[in-house]
Parts: sequence; structure tokens; C-alpha cells
Amino acid sequence: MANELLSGIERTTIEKRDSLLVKSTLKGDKNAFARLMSFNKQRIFALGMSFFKNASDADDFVQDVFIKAYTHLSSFKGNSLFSTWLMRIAYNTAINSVNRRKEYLPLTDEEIIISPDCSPEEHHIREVTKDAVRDAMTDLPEKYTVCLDMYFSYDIPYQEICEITGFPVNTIKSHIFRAKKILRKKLEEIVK
Amino acid sequence: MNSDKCNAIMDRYLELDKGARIPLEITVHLLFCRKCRRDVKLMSQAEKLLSEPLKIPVPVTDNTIENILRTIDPSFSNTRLKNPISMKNWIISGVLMILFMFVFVFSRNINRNLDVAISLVFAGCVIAYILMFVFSNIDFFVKKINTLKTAI
Repeated sequence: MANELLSGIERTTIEKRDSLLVKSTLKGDKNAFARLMSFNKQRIFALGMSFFKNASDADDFVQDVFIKAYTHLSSFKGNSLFSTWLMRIAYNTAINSVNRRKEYLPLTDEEIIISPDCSPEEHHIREVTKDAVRDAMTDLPEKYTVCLDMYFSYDIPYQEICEITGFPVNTIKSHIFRAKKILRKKLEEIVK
Repeated sequence: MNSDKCNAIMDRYLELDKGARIPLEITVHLLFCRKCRRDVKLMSQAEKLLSEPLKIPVPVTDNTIENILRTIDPSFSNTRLKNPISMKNWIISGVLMILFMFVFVFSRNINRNLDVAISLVFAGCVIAYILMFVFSNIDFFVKKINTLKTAI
């Protein structure tokens, strides 16, 4: 319960912060846009790596996405988080890109992102979670693997994944539910 | 606790979205069932740990960010990101600080017993100002030192 409350507070704070930064950017403050990019660069780069599979193309992708976001910033109405709006632009850019490889490389498959320092126990739980997501992905049609990444790694809720990808929300829910069940089983084994 | 009931409750919990309110029935069950409470705690910890790395911001001085800003506005200078306080403001505030010290010392009759204390406070202020100046422009000083080393 406390976790839900805290994540609600965190979300509201992020919403307020991003909305202020967007307003400042629209008034011409480039530093505000630099801060928006600093908060979101990691996730856009990670998505780029999943679609393009090399750092150089992923970097070009990041630049492409942020320039698109800057050009269309006035169309951001604040109905969702800025990060969700940005992910929608990033996902569409990646899908429509001619350079992208056919198959999507899930974040759990490779060490695309550097994990922050954590205790051995936390490291173990993170690895188990990755394993569970990977297991859940094996029986999944490839186009839906991105939904699990979005939920578990990008921390995006069901409805927003649906808005970004265009997949039916119930399909997304059922795939994530299955992954959570696998995760629960794996976590139970740790405790035993 | 009844394992079937636990499974049913946990299934309902797993169906919940991020940040969704936990229904009262689940909350009550969690209050009385230690195993489910532990499972829920582990699940939320696992989800939090997996999403953490992508939430870490990169520095605003990151090369990609600078390149994007220059593409958007070719006249953009990265010193504006690195030095939020301009040199002009540093000079103005330094001069004002010294002026204030002179005015303070010469404009009133100071108790001679406080001389040492006031001097120490002023010295502290000057040292703090210099340290702030050096550390906020550390890049410049590091480059200067490197250039001098190469020249020697």
C-alpha cells in the first residue's frame, strides 16, 4: 500500500516537473529541453538498441527522436506523461525506420543498459526477474515482446503501452499477467 | 491460510496495473497472510529493480544532448549548460561582496572586541566564494592545467 502511494507521489512529481520543463522549452529555454533529454535519453537509447542493435544507429535514432519531439512539442497536451508521449514518437520512428533489423531484441536478452550499484540480494532478484521475463517471451509472438519490455523495464502501465503500440489492451494485460505468474513462481523458489 | 484462496487473491493482485489501487479484499487478506504479503513485497521489489536502470538521468553535458541542441539552434553554446552562472555575474557578485565589506568596516563604530570575529567571518566568505568559483568552473581549470603541462 505504501509502495502504491509512493509511486503515485513520484508520478505526480514527474508530471509536474516535466510540464514545467515543457513550458520553459516552448518559451525558448534550451536548457529546459536539455534536462528533458537527460531524464529520457537512457530509455530512448535502449529502445534504439532493441530495434537497431548497434550503438551508432541507436545514437542517430536518439537524435532523430529528440529533434522530432522538439519540433512537435507544442502538440504535447499533458494528457499522459512526457516520457510516454516521447516513447510513442520513438516507437513509431523505430517501426517506420528503414534501417531497423526485422527482429526486436528484448532488453532482458543483452546487457544493453548498465545496472546501477545494488546489493548482491537485489542483483539476484533483478536477474531472476530478467529470467522470468525472458521465459515469458519465449512463447510470445515476436511483436508482443516489446510490451513486456515496456511494462517491466520502461515502467509503463497497460493503457499507455496500448496507446504507444496500438495493441489491444486486453492482449497486453494477458501477456503481462502470464509473465508475472512466472515471476512469482521464480521468486518463490528464491525464498525456499 | 487456504492455498486456493491465496492463489485466487494473488491472481487478482497480479492483474493489477502499475500504481493501481489495491482492492480492500486483497488488502485485508495481505494483513492476515504472511506468505502472500511476502510474495507481494518481493514482486513489487522485483519490478522496481528491473525498471530502475532506465530511470537514471544522463548528465546534461552528454555529447548526444549537446549535438541535438546544436542541431536545433546552431548558435547554442555548451558553456551555457556547463556554467549556469555567467562570468559577468561572478565578477559583479565578487565586487559587491568586497564593497559591502569595506562599507561595513568603515561606516560604523565596531566594538574592538569583535574585530577578530568579523575578520574571520569575512575571510570565510571570501574563501567560500573562491571555492565556489573554482569548483563551478573546474573544467576550465583542469583544461588550463593540462595545457600548461603539455607546454612545459
